[in-house]
Amino acid sequence: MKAYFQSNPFWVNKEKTEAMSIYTIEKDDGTVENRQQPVPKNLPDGSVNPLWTQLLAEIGEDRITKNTDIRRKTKLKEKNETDLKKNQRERSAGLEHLFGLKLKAFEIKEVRECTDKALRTKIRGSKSDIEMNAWIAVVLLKSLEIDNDESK
Amino acid sequence: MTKVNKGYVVVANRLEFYYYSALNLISSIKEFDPDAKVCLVSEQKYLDLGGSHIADHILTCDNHPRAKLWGMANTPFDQTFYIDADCEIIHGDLPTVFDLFKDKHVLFTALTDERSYIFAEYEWGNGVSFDWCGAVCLYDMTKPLVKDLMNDWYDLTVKQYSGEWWPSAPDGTPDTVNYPKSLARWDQFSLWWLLNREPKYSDILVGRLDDEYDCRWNNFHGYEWDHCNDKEPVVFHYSNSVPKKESLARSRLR
Repeated sequence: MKAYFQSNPFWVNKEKTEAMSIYTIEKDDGTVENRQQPVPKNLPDGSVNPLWTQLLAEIGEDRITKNTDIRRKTKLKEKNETDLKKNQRERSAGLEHLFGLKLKAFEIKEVRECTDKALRTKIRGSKSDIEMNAWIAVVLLKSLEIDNDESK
Repeated sequence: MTKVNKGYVVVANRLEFYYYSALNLISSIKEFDPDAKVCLVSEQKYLDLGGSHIADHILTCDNHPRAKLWGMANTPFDQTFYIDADCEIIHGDLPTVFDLFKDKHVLFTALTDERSYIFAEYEWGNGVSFDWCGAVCLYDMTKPLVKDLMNDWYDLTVKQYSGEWWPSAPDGTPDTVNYPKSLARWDQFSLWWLLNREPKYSDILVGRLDDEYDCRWNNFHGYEWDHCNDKEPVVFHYSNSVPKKESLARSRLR
């Protein structure tokens, strides 16, 4: 039987008194077992953990510290990317919803034919259903005024 | 020195969705580039719905699925930024697109491996893949080769769609081994052919609108993550959006 640590253990506390590792056991029957292995410095009775001694001898403190740093940075990057993806999905969904509303607004003849640039921009730039509906109402009111003026 | 005439081309045919999207797009172009000149290309039946007064030029096209290429070839501008109708401008950097020519004649956004998860068809045969996405295109029609390319792209695509053209195998039959028939529905294929197999265009300078991981100019709505780095998207593309799907479904029921 042969047992050894994979090269990627890292510290689980700032005091560097416990590491997390993957411990590989190659058995005589040819099977290989990989297990996640916490490695505290001391056993419950206060004696030094033999796995700790083996870990430091095989991997060394510097390497474990370096692994910890790389892992921290990777995790941070993953978190930022996950946050970014989440934000983008939400933003996309919001933009698509507004896009659908704007197209519906263009189905209204008075909106489509509105020549007031400022009002058109207000409809287009609306950030919510309510805001857009309000600006559409203004366009419709204005078109009524124009109709009334023309019929006088 | 003669002033270069710059403008935007938007094409909307076949669906009301595209027409209303085009009106929305033109409105957004004018919002972010108030001096912009825009040419709207559409079918008469859609123009009759009204609202086209927001465009500066109107061209009437037919209902061919790739009338957009006809519209691109018939741009009234020297330098044109073509934008698919189902896009919207969301950033004020829009006018800076015309600064991106540098030494190039035509610029597209790229279809990259990294984004290939979203493409309907990308790679074929022995690892050959489409290079360019036709959703937006910046092109300089003062270059005779570009003028020819735009006309040839439309002509070849019409023949491709109607089955009149396909690359030939050595025995003269259509080469469906190297060029599977599934490619026939893409105008990117006729573009790929012209740029990669047509000697006439070996000197044309084609470039990429986006830097690596940057998709400012065609920020496709379906990207799970756009890798836009720190730059804000300028053109947001609603291809495959719910309103488009609904409109397509309605048109099939008619």
